[in-house]
Formats: sequence, C-alpha cells, structure tokens
Amino acid sequence: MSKLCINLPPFAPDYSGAASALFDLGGIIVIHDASGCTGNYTGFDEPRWFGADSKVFCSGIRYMDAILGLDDSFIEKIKKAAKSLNPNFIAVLGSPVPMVIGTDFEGIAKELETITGIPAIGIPTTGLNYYGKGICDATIKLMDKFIKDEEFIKEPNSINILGTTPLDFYINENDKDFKELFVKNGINVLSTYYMGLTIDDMKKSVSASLNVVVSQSGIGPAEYMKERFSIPYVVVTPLCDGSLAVKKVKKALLGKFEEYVPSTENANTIILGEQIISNSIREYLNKELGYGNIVVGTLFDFSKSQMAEGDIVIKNEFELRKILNSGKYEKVIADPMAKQIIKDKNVKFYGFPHVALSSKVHWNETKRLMNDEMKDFLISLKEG
Amino acid sequence: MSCCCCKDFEKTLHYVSPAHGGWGVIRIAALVPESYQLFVAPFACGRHGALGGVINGIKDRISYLYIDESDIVSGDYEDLIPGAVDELFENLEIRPKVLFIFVSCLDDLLGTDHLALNKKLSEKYPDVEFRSCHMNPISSDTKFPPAVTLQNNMYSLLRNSSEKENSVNLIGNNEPISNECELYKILGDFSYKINHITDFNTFEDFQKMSKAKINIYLSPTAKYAAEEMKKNLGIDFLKAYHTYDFSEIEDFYKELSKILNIEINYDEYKEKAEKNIEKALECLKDVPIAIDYQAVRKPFTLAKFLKQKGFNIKLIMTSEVKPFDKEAYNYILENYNDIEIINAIHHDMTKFRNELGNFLCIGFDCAYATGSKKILNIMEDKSLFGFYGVSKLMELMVKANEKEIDLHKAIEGEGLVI
Repeated sequence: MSKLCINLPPFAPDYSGAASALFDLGGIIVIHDASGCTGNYTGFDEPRWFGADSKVFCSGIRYMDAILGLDDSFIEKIKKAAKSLNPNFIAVLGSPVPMVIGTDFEGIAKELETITGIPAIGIPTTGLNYYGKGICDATIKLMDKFIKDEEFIKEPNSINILGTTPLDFYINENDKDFKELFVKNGINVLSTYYMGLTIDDMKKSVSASLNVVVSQSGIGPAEYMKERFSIPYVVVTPLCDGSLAVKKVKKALLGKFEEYVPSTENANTIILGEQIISNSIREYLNKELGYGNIVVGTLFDFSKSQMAEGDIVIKNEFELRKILNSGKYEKVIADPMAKQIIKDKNVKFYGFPHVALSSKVHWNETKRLMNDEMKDFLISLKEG
Repeated sequence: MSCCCCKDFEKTLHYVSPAHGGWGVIRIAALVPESYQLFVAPFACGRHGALGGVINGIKDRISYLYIDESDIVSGDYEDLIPGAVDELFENLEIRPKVLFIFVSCLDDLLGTDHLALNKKLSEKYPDVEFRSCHMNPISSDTKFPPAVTLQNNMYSLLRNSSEKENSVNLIGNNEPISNECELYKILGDFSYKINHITDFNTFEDFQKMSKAKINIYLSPTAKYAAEEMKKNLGIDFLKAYHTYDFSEIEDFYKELSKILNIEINYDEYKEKAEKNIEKALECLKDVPIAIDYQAVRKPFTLAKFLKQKGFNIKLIMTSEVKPFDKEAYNYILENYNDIEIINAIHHDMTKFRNELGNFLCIGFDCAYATGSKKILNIMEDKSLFGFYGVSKLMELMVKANEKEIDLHKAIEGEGLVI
C-alpha cells in the first residue's frame, strides 16, 4: 500500500496550476466542477484571489448534468457570462467528474468560440496531476491560440522568465526581484510568465533570445518555445544576490550552456520540494558556500533532464516517510509540514514553505529568495 | 437596482467570493467524539478539506487514500479500501471508535457497494463503527446533499436506548447555542437538560443523546437525521431554525410547551429583546444595513423583521431563496422596493465589487462585495437563538458599527472551507 497519506495535505492539482497561469490574462476561467475543486483553487491555491478582479468561476455541475452529459447548460452559462464580462478569452478547465464522463473540452471551446466570437481554449485537467502540468498545458494552449506562425524578429539580449507562479513563489515580490535582477544587469526582460503577464507580453515573448526557467512548470513551455520559435533555455532560480543566475544567463545569451553536475554520493542533506528551486539552492550552497553532497527529493512534477544522479522522485507520503527516517540525512530542507514525519529528533530541519504544499497555513512565511535573509538561511544550514 | 445580479436568481456560472465558505464536512464530522476520517478520492478532492483541517486543528483525525486513473477506470477502487484501513489502523496510536469513510463526487457515478464494504470492515474490526459518507456537492440540488447525509451518518451512530431521561437534543447547529439563551433557563426550570454534540468528549458519553425525549433541529440539514432518529430511536422532533422574528420564536416555544407538556413563559425574555431593539435602534436608525446568507440562514426573514422594527435595511445578498425564507422574500418584494436583493454567486459580482455602497454588514460575503469595513462577523447564526439571539444580535450590531475591522484577517480567522 502506498497511496495512503496520513500527515500531509494533498498538493496543488493541475486545474489550480492552469487557472493560476491564466489568472492575470483577462479571460473568463471556468472550472467544470461541483464546487470543491474551484474552492481548492480560490481558497487555497491562489494567494491573489482576495481583492482580485479576475473572472474565475465554477460551472456548478450537478448529478443530472453529469449523467445526461448536459454540456448545453454549461455552454449557455458561459455564453451569458462572456456577453456581460467581455473577456479576452474563455478557458474551460476539467476536474475529476468531467474526466469520468469524458467531457470534450476542446469541442466545448470550439463551440464557445463559434458562438461568442471570443477565443476559447479547453484544458482537460483532471485533478489527478500536479499543478506544474496544469501550468504547462495552459501555456501551450494559449500559445497555440494566440501566436500565429509567422517570422519573428529576434530581439538580442532579451529573455523571458518562465515558471514564476504564486504556487511556487507566493506574492511576496519574488517575481519582481527576478525581473529587476536581469534588468539591472543589462538584460531586456520581455515577459514574466505568469505574474502580471498580458496577452501582448505573451505575443512579444516569442522574440526573446533566451528563456530563463525558474521553476519546473516552465520547462514544458520552454521546450515548446524551443521547438516552435527556436528559443533556447537555461534553468536557474535566482537566489541571494542573483550572481549565479546572471552569470548563467549571460553565458547562455552568448550561446554557452554550462551543465552543473553535483555530487550526491554520501549526501547527508536533502532538499525536498520543487525540483528547480531545490536544484538552485543546492548549486548555490555548493558553489557560493562550499557546502556539497546534497540530494534533491522532488515532491511534485519533475524533469528527468534536471535530475542529478542520486536525486529522488518521491511519489507519495509512504516513500517520503521512508526517506526521512532512513537515517541517511542529518539535515532536511522542506516545507514546515514535512517536519511532523521525521521521527529522529537529531535531524536538523530547515523550514522552506511552499504554497503548493502548505498553502495559507505557511504562505506568509514564504522566503523572499533574493535577499540577505535567504543568504542567512543558507549559511545557517551550512553551519548548523 | 444598481447592478444586474438580480433577484430572480437565474442559473449562472458560480462566482466564489473569497468570503464564501463554511465549516465543511470534515469539521462537522469531527464533532463526533473519538471519530476518524478516511477520504478515498483523487488527491485534488481532499486539498481544501485537509488544509481546512490543519487550520481548524483536526488534521490529526483525517487521512487520505488517493485513487488514480487506473483505479477509477477499473472500477474496483473499493477493493483498495480494506487494505488502506489496515494500514491506517497500524499507524494510528489509538484505534478510533468510529471511522467515517468519505468518497467524493466521482463515487456517485461509479456505484460502489458501500454496504458490502462496511460489512466486511465491521467483521474485521468489530470494535469500530464504520460509516460511508459522501463529500459530493454534485448532489447539492437533490434531496440528499452531503450536509444532509452527513448529519444522518453522525446521529445514526446513536444506539437505541430504552432508558429515557429529561433531556432535549439540539442538532444541526455546528456551534452550540449560547448557554445564556433563555432556552437553558426555561428547560432547566422543568429539570430538562440540553444536549449538544460538543458536550461530549467520548463516544460512550455521546450515546447519552439517544436518551433524549426530543430532538430540536436547528438547520434543514438535520431534518432527515431527526426523522431517522424518530424511526430508529423513537425520539420525536421539532423544527426550530434560527430566527430573529418574534412570532416565529413564540411559535417555537408554544410548540415546545405542547410536546413536553410544560407551560413556558417567555415574556421577560421577549421584553428584554424589545428593549435591546429600541436601544440598538437609537444608534443605528439611519445606518444602512446589509445582510448575507452565510451569516444567517434566513436573511429575508431577518431583513423583514428588522425593517419592520425601523432599521434601515438596504441590501440582501444570497445565492437562492430557501423555501423556509420564501414568505419573507415575497413580502419584501411586495413591500420594500428600496431593499436591493443580489445573487451572491452571479457572474456579474466580479463587475460590481465595491460599487454597491457602504453598509453595516451582517456577514463576510456582503462586506467583501461592498468593501464595507463595519462588519458583524457571524457565520450560520453562530450561537444566537431565541429571544436571547435577538438581544445579542442587537448588541453585536451596535458594537460592529463602532469599529472598523480588517476583513481579510477576519475571514482567515474563521477557517472557512468550501
């Protein structure tokens, strides 16, 4: 048995990721569910919801709608809302019930687009995948919809920042810090996916020379943009003074892509959480503070290409429990909620809140990654 | 009307305000002493409940069995449950007296045999009561939405008792009514004890509720449970939804007198409530007041009552007109065209926020929608009941009008779950 989860809450699902990616873009976002899925997103996965003008709705699907496959009433409600709210686009997102009854989200989107004349996308999220997949799927659907295949003039020395989401970085200005870092270092930032992004920004973003991926949810879109628009990408989350990230990006803008290969042999420290942020913390500790032999344990979506030898993908709480109580690790960096799983009191725990895990229970404690406090945190880990 | 979120309550996409929410099934089920909850669902279905559980301090009584696509497609995810229960019990320091096994909306479409499942589990663990519960808002428009079936599951745990005592159960209200309420005094004078589920710390103690002479159900969600308890335990029932309308409160006491065969005199409490209304009116006569459906279960009844007493009711926000509030709704439509009625979940709510005026708000939802800062932050009538409820409401309204509060903090403090 490995599917039993006793201590941790379920993580942010794909429909939260998709809605989060679309949040700032001026569309109508409809989660096709009875109420709880939308409640997950607005209540626990969207720190921007209080006071927001974004048009996020629940379809309010009911038993007879599901049994009889009554898409018409769903479409009619969206049509009415679109007429009144005049959105930039319509996005219809799935949840477990539509998955079981086989709702055709692409077909519904096509019909909505024909009826309303407003661009529409259908994203068959299911609630069975993590948020990163939802972010990735939503981005690709948007690009397919809004960016036409034509010649793009490349803008030299320009980047897009991919993977900046409140689910990974909260709303404590991390997104602005990232942008400011690159601008201050003479690099032109065309867009920041997904905080403050506009449709126009997205259209401009295809002219970038480079994509900078700061979290795992940006990998899929970066791969897509590499293939479709020939934009290469580099993967790094800026930390502390950001110099490591700037160095990497500047080299990549010159066509030099360096790979960092960490040593994980005899690791006594594990970083648990989001893959790219965790990788970046490891690289910083190693290169800037001379602290090595760290394993990254990914809790959410992962990219094989970003895994070092010895890194772990943790599929469930059972595996997490085994790893944390294996006696191998003396130091653990993870969301504060993971602490309760560790039995050995000698293990040193360093709390690093992640919205996609502990949500509002700890989101006010989310670290601002590019300040002295973060540096002190990492030094304390080295010295602790 | 200043906006088109109008009073005909047409079916629209649902707007989910940040102020929307309530206790949620987890917190309600956790009222049963020594109970534990196992959720069997796609992981996403459990997120809000689990986090709400952490915020409300009950997460240590909830676990999850995540099912994936193959479990759903194969249709035999129920086969996973016995193994999960074994593993869960091995990991818990104390075996619970009750295990609520919750399934989500999906289960309505899959046809799980819960009776057979519970039989199997009961045979293996005879010391544990198993109940299959549904967190299935997909059934919200049926006779058996999750809040109704949950109440029945909770009270179905009471064993039949031949012994009866002079006690009265209050059911359907998540929070107990205040012991300052005159009902305590009135029934106490006739040696009746009032039971509420929160009075009991152990499962055995909770069984005392089966000895009561009558169930008073304060919410429509407990009507079915009360009917079943009459059938199975022989406990008669009486409806008494929270209300602030004097005539409805009086009707309740008259009915209670008849059922218990006692003579109830409520005059002094009514008089006190009248005085408190007068006092409050002195302070609030010209203050525009908004009322929402999350604060009180009968917003139209309250609005009508307060308006008739001279308060300046200006706005009512609700998602629908409940049958037990319909008479007051119709009365308001016919007599008070200066009261604006707004569908709180209409898609146009995203357009009109902060444009509806400034009010003394009874409820978070109308406070959020209007951007008002003077807020009486009660949920589902809280502990207000009877004439005491009216008196207390007056005090709270006056107090709320004296000071602005931070709505965001107040909402977070409530630990709301959808």
